Amino acid sequence: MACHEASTSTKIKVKQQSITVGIIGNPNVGKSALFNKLTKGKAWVANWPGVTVEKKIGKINLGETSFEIVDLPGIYGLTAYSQDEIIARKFLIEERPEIVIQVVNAVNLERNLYLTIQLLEMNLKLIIALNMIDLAEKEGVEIDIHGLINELKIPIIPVVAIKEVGINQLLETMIEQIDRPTVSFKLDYGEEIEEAIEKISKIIDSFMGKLDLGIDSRWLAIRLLENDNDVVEQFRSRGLEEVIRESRRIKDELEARFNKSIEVLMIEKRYHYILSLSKKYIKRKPARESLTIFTNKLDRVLTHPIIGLMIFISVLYLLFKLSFDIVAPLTRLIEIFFSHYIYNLIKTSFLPDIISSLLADAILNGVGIVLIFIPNLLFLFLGISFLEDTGYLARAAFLFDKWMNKLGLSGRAVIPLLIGFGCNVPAIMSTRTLGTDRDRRLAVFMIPFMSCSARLPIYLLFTLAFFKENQIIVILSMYFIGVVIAIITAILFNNLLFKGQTVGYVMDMPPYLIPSAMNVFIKSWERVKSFLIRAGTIIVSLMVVIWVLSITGPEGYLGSEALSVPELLSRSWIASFSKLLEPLFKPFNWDWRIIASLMFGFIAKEVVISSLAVLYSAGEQGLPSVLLSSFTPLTAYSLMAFTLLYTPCMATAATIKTEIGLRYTLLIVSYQLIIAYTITYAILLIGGLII
Amino acid sequence: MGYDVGDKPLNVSPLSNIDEGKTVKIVKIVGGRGLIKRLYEIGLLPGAEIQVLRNSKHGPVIIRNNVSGTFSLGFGVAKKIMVEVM
Repeated sequence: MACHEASTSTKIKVKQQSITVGIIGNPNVGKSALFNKLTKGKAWVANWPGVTVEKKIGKINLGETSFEIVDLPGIYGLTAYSQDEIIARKFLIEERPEIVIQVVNAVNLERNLYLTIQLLEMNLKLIIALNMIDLAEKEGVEIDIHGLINELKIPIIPVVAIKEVGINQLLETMIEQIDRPTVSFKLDYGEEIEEAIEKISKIIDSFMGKLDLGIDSRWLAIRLLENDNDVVEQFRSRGLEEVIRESRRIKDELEARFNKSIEVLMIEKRYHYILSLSKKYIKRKPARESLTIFTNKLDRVLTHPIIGLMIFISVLYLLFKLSFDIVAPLTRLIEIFFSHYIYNLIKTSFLPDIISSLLADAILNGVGIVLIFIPNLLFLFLGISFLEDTGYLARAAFLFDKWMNKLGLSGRAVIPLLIGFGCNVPAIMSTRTLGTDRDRRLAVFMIPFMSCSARLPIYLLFTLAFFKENQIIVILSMYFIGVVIAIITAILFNNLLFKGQTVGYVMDMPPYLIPSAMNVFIKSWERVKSFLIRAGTIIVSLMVVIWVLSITGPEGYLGSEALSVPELLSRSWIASFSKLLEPLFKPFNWDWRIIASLMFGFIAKEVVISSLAVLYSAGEQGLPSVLLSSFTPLTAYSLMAFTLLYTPCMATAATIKTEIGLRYTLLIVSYQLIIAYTITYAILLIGGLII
Repeated sequence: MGYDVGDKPLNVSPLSNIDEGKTVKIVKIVGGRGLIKRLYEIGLLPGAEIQVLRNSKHGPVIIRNNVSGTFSLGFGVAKKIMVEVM
């Protein structure tokens, strides 16, 4: 059914130059594990041009050749749906890596072979890394590798990526492949379709002068028949409308004849070929104790609508509990080291006052805020990556799909949302797994309303002072308000800004596996690093701005003491802005000191408390009694609600910016300010009626 | 595992209606081109036999077969996959 011709024209000259190797494959086949083994964990992360999806690259030197290895997002075929998939496709088509390694899962080889065929049709230099060969054996799957090699004419290397089996052979094969000619592969689509491919190829050939794609015309013809938008766009941008028109005409003619979509017909042809391969080279014996059987048994429990849900909530609780309890002393240590030890060192140095204040109060504080996040982030990400690699997160997504669907999101979105209760920063970063941009943005809009752990101290302080009897109920009501607003936000933006349904939820459920510690650690560290570098710089610069606005005012420089002397601080720019805003908060009966504290709360929500303490000339211990004398319970409650809703903290805002861009960040911040104002107003109105 | 679509099946119903534990054969996918392509690409095409592992009838389903492995499909997707009980 398929035939091969060796073409010698595509020889690549290599001596000093580096060879690009793309690693591709279906999701959950162990691409990253293989990538980590090939690059020995030494990789760097860049961004794919124009998007916020990360690109992982690693360099290795073998003899005189250096290889640049690129880890690509998982795809099932060349039809792209999510941003991840578009990137993987673009890389293959536009950058045409010298070598492509397709990682395939030996357990479900047939499904993986679909992508193999599409890659072969592109005439790429392909190597197959047949991963999880050990698991396949246990499943009773027997693969005649030599038979497949003879049939497909490409190297197939059995590997067990997490156990480092077959890696050296794979590296050797990469070197061998450099000087080997590309094998051209032709799948026979049947007389009628072949005729159509021929006709379109001829038309393309007649315009070849204008095409600089470096791809053969047969492949382009196939993609045109399959209605590949990207390829159509390539032709359009080169002014070859005629080719598009002609191919459409041929396609329509063919579809009329078959009374069926040609795209579907072509996929069927590919699967027929795969099944013929499967009959010849893959044997399945029933396995007594296999991973599939184990997975199915475990899934009876873990995907159970009630038991499964209860287990999930326990797992999540445990994750939060562990990450915050274990990490607390570490966070405290960082805090002491920075805000006491180094802080005092700088403050008592011989530097001029303004310089030492800039270093200590602005930059050091900013760095401190960034670093304080690290233990928490690292721990949470370790937990999440671990759960992800065991295969459990796919089950959690399944459990919540029904409910998340009502909000216009898929089940996967539940994980970032719940992480938001711990900390909004990792929550926003973990929206990366949500397939489409639309789903991602919608989830990011909801996350800041999840009451994170930094808001708890504020609730505790106010409830201690005003609601001693009903402390727990009042605190829970805050969480409740947050969730309700998040749901309203989802419904609102789903209908306004992010129209359209979430893409049909089709998710691979990998078998349960024990994750490799190296993979989990690398994945978590990459996420933390990305926060450190990208959000960190934004946070430190914002700290400097806030510092300048606090120690200067309309009358000029106030001195760095302004930060601790209320009388001076009241003459700063921040105080002036707050006083300017006072009329706006007149209905709330809030004076400028509350407004100023809320402004400082942008640094981190818990800073609201310390700022109130400074502005009301009370120590943090004395604050409750001072508040009691100047606030009513209703004012206190409304201030709690306002703090919950009003703006994401600086770290969260910085993360939103790096993840979905400045435009959406500004939109989220303004939206939240409006929501906070409205809800607080409503609380005061309703509260005023009751009391 | 065959992919041949036999004679016109008699009892065809959407996958979302099938009881857990049943094995069914896909007859047709009634959805947009995008969905059809996506499902076809993972081996869920007419003729494929699939086992229903989990189905609450008003939420997502979990299915498996040897070619595709195990997948969960949203309710909306499951409604569009017409199957024949074997």
